[in-house]
Amino acid sequence: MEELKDKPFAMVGVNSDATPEAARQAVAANSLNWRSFQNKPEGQVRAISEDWYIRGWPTIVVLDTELKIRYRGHDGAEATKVVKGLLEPEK
Amino acid sequence: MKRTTTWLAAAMFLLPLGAQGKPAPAEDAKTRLRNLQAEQKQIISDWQKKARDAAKAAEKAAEVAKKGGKPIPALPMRPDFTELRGKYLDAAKKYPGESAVPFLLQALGIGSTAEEREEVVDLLLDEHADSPRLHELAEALPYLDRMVSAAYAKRAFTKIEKHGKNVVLLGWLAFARSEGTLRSEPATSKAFQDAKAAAAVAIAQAEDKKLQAEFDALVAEQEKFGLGMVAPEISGADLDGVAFKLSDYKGKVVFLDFWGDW
Repeated sequence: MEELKDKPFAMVGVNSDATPEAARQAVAANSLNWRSFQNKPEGQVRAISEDWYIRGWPTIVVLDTELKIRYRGHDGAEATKVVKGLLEPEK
Repeated sequence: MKRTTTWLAAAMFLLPLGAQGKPAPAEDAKTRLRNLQAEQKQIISDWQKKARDAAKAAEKAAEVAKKGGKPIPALPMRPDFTELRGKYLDAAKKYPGESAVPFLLQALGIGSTAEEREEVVDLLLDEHADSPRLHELAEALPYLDRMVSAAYAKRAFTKIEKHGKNVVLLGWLAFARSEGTLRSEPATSKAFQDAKAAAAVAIAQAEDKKLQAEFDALVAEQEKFGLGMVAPEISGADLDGVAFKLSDYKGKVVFLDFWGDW
């Protein structure tokens, strides 16, 4: 994804670790450089993943610039292909 | 001493007589089912014990292998139910009619090959299609192509439609038929809306809570999160507790990753 850093592209996570502390450790250990929502912050009744009908991890959702869903699934390579297709200048 | 011996002899002589006089009641279908299910449980727990032992043996073997020893044979991925399956099928013959259905459903559950599953599904559809107890078979219809084969699923579906009376089977069949389109076509498309409308009637008639819930969830999921739909807002906190929103990223292509480090 390094080649996309100058494009209008963002990675956003929804993290399901038990505590933000555990998630922060994972971010540090794997040098992850994107921002993540807490899936179910303390005090929240429903997890984001429940609202989004997520049943398997990881799940990837690709959104276009209008936030329309363009891919939803578990295949990172396929999702990346969709992202690159969306970022290609229209010919 | 002498008296004791006499009593023992008399008891040994009389015991079989007593048994003859009062024959044990023949096993009824319910008892037979319970006994076979207990046998199934035992087979599974024996197999689990073997698997644990094999894991321990594998650890040892790995050490021996380093010194040039032989590897141990692999354990099968599941218990061997061949004999038990035969017993379920025999019981289904012995207790015909509606009583046979639970035995056949058990046999279906432990079938290990496409042929074995096909045999039992055929028995259920050919001889028990009116049974109100076919929920387990009905719930398997969406997977029948993978459990047996696509060609067989097609034949079985035709059989169910031809029979045309079991509303539970017909409801799950409608779900199985519409699922592919509902998952692959955008919720705004005509194909999606047609598939939804066609299935909804049969599903409502089935009056099967699980079926209705699965169908409603699939439709809701696709109508909210299917391709082409605008993602709903996420308004939350990042890992440091700082608030942010998904709509902050409007104007960018977003790779939204549901992840965890377990």
